[in-house]
Amino acid sequence: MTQTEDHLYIDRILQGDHEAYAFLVNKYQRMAYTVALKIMRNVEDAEDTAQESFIKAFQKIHSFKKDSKFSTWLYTIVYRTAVYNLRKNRISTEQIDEDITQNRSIDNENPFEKELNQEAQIIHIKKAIDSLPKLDSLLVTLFYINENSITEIQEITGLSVSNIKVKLYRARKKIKKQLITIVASK
Amino acid sequence: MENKIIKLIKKVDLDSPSMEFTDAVMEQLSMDIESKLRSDNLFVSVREEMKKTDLKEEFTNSVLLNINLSQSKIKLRPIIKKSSGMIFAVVIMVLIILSFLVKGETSSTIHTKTNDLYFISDLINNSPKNISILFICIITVSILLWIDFMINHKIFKGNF
Repeated sequence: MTQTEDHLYIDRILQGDHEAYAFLVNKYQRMAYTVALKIMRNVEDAEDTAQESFIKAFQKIHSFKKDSKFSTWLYTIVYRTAVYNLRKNRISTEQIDEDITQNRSIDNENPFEKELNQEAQIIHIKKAIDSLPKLDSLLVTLFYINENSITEIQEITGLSVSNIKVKLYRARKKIKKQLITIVASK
Repeated sequence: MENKIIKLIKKVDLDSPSMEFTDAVMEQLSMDIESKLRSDNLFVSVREEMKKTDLKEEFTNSVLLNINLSQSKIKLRPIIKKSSGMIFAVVIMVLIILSFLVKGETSSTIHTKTNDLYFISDLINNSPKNISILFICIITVSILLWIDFMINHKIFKGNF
């Protein structure tokens, strides 16, 4: 249904109704921004990158193949644009994966409650995800939060299926470790 | 514990861009489209051409004025020709004269005195009401046709 709806709007855009694109921007802006933010790690840069990606997507919309999901196609553009923008800032692709400290500690300004409610747990989980290396953080967001399939993530990031699975496994371990550290420090 | 972590991860909300995000994208797109159109030589040349051939504002008014003028010059065509008009005129005159003559005779012995007018008087005597109505209609139509003929052949010089 969602895919069909997207295709209807894409048809309208292809017929010259540019305003129809606002629907797609509204619908996917949060995920596009989140993907950009995972790579850029900067709110302003992430928003610029997301906007740039939407414009690129609009310009290339005639090349979009309707047998695939618009969202996957869009996130691929967002991911590549974010990586490209980082490279422009003289940060290599390798660094994207490695520049964040492997076990960055979560700031302890907000100590754990003795009995954490779910809201607080989610906040700490979010912090743990954000503390992951950029690519791991992106993979966790795509796979668990946005519920993209491994194949879709492969399409978006260009990573192999096995590499994605390994990274997801490691990411889970890191998050778990982070949480244990927080609880222990408490 | 790992399953619980996964469940919690799924509950994490996505980040949100600023409120003006969509507007900003759409504005950039509009500017992009506009600038592309401006840089498109074909589009520019077509636009220039359209400006040259653009109709003036008073175009409609001038057309309407011409229509009014041409309408005022439309010539009236007569329904009947000149010869037919003359025949009608004669017929009308004859009928009028006859009507006067017949009226004068109907009260007395028309059958014996005027044989030429026998058919008319007979008609009138047999069905006076119907005949008089028919007679008036014929005269009226004839008069109208005759007036039309007179006007269109400029026999009357007045403005009608």
